[in-house]
Amino acid sequence: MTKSLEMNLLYKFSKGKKLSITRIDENALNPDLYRDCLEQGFLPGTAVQILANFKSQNKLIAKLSEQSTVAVPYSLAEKIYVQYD
Amino acid sequence: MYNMIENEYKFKYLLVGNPNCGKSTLFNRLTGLRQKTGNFQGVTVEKKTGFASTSEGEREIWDLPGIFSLDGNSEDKKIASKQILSRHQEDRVIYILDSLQLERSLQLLISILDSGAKVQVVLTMKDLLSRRNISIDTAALKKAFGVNFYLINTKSFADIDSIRNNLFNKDNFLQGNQIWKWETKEESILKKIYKSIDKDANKEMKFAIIEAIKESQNDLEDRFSNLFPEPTKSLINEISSKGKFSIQNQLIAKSVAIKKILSAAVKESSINHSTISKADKILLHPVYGMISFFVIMGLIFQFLFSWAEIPMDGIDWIIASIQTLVSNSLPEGPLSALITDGIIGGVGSVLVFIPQISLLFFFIEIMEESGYMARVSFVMDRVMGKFGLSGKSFIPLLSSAACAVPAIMGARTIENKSDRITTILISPLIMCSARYPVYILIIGTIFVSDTALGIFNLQGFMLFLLFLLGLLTSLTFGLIFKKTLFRSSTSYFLMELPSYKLPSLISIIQNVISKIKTFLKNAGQIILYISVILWFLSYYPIQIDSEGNIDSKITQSYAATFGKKIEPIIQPLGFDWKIGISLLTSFAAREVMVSTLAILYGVDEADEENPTLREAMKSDTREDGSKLWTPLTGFCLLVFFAYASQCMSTLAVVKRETNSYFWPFFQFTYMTVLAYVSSLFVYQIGGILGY
Repeated sequence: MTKSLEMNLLYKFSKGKKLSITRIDENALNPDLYRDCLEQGFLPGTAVQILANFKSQNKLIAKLSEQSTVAVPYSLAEKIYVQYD
Repeated sequence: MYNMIENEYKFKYLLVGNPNCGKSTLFNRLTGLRQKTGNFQGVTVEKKTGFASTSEGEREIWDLPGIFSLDGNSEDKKIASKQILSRHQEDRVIYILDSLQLERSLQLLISILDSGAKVQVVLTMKDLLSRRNISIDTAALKKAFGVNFYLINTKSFADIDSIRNNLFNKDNFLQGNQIWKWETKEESILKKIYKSIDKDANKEMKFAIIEAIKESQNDLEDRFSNLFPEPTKSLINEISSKGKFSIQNQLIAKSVAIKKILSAAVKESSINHSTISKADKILLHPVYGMISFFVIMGLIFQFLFSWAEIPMDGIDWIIASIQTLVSNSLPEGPLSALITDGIIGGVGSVLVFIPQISLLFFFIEIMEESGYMARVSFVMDRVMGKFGLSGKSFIPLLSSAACAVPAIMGARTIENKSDRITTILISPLIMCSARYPVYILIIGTIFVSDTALGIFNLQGFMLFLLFLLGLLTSLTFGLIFKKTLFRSSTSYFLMELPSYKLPSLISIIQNVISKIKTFLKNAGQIILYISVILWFLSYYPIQIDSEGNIDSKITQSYAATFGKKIEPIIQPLGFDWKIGISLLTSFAAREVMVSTLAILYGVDEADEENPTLREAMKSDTREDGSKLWTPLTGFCLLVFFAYASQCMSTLAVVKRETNSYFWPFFQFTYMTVLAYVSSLFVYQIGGILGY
């Protein structure tokens, strides 16, 4: 996938998409969740790959920086802005 | 710890790392069984310490809770951070790093190096690295960070032995290089603050200042109140607002520095990581994941009941033999009765569950170490979310079907405090194995038909209904507590899914032994005290006959007197004083109710399948001549037993796990009120309807 300026929210993307985080809406998040999210490695500039998106579960599985695999609730994925890597 | 003779501080080793990095496996390998588990002072966070032989003699090792940063909010994270930041200057940090999560793990290493700690780094998962064709240049990492790096497989004794001497050589621990810096503007602000404190401010002080600035909007007073003089605190507060000392900025700056180092130190052949693993395709699937989970749990419970039976019978036999031995060796009287019935009988009623508890811990450890537990939490999160909890609460609730005690201890894995307390509060409502004997006795006595709805075995059907009653009530109360007691706290499920690993059997066994020792040490004491009190109440007052023989009858005991006193309170539920006494004695252990009823009905063999006891109960009448054990009375007692907090072990463990007397008191009160009101409702409505 070539670079794109398209910006969108993480939860909208389907399995296999390679993205990078552009922004996290800190103000819309519970402070504990925001801190956890940063500690887990969700930082602007970080590469994210969607491994599975379970809409019925309101969750997705993402690989961060080609390393850790994280289960992300939509409540968080709705606040993470991404663009195609 | 100071050596009083040489007046020299005997430094300790702190094992630090992210969760699931292999830290506990290394701790087990380094210390063997020379471990002890307790709590950090004043909090419920588990403190695991052990001893290792080094060239400088025995050294203490602390296995600190896994953390991602030194800024965490949860209790265990705060404690781990505090231990690192307030360590003695001579203490050494062994930093454990998951080789497959280098980037994230190095973030914490940088923070620890910034704090001025003397560090050595152990990289784990060597076996998985080679399987994935990834190579790590430890020399390049050493050059960049300025500390030693060792790459090992923590399950390999040979690997541990190869680094043991270097790892325990105190001179190999170094303070490391500074990997990153704040932007120029922020650095100049920091310089002003350093100057205000002391021109020679050391590394630890500088680190504390940075942390204080980041936390200044939150809990500066709590964490660093002793470190700074008042003028400096004011200065920090004043100028922290001018700089961008945010956690996000710091993490981004460190991430950039780490990526640069890793690009030179890590070589990875091109492997396609773009797909979810085959196992996860099934285990995380909304439908297949759920089916797999129930199949696996079904097998575990089968093993739990069938495998535990033989050792449980063995323990039962040993306890009975000791009771007989003591009873034969001592003259008949209060002392003999106290030792045999009060102490050995009371403690034995708990010891008998150790095989089941150990097996449950064993399977839970396997699920955790293999990485499956995180998948279960993921699959169950949706269901639990409807009741205000996250998927992490499900396993402890399920474990309650065996026994609430290990289930409550298992709730430690829940990081969110309100979810953890809620899970602890509702776990005992799930039908546990100690309720079975009572249920079987009552169901067999009052329900004469063999089948339910024409096809089901009635006994099994009733047990299933009682299981559902417990499960649904516990989830409903979970929702009530989350909507009332913990209104401000919302559950969320952000969880790392660790790579699948083959569990280390030795490490699992060591963990199970450690948990069982802790259980016996803490809960055992309280159980002993309550057993003795209950024995006293059911033994005294004694009568001495004309020949000078001591005669103690439970029907004349204080417990019986109490049972008769409380009869007016329990009469509206359809219960008489005999049921009252049984409810009282079953507080020691639920199944004691069967033996109490056997004594009260004058039946020798206390067994829930005993037809004589059932016949005696069936023919018992009230004062007005009507039958006591009607289906309605029996059903009310089942409801009461399903809800009442009739287990001192559970309350003792709740006290231990919450480090508070409030929560066990609250649990006892709400469950007792629930049991009373529900039984009252059923009995009164049943009476009106003519049952």
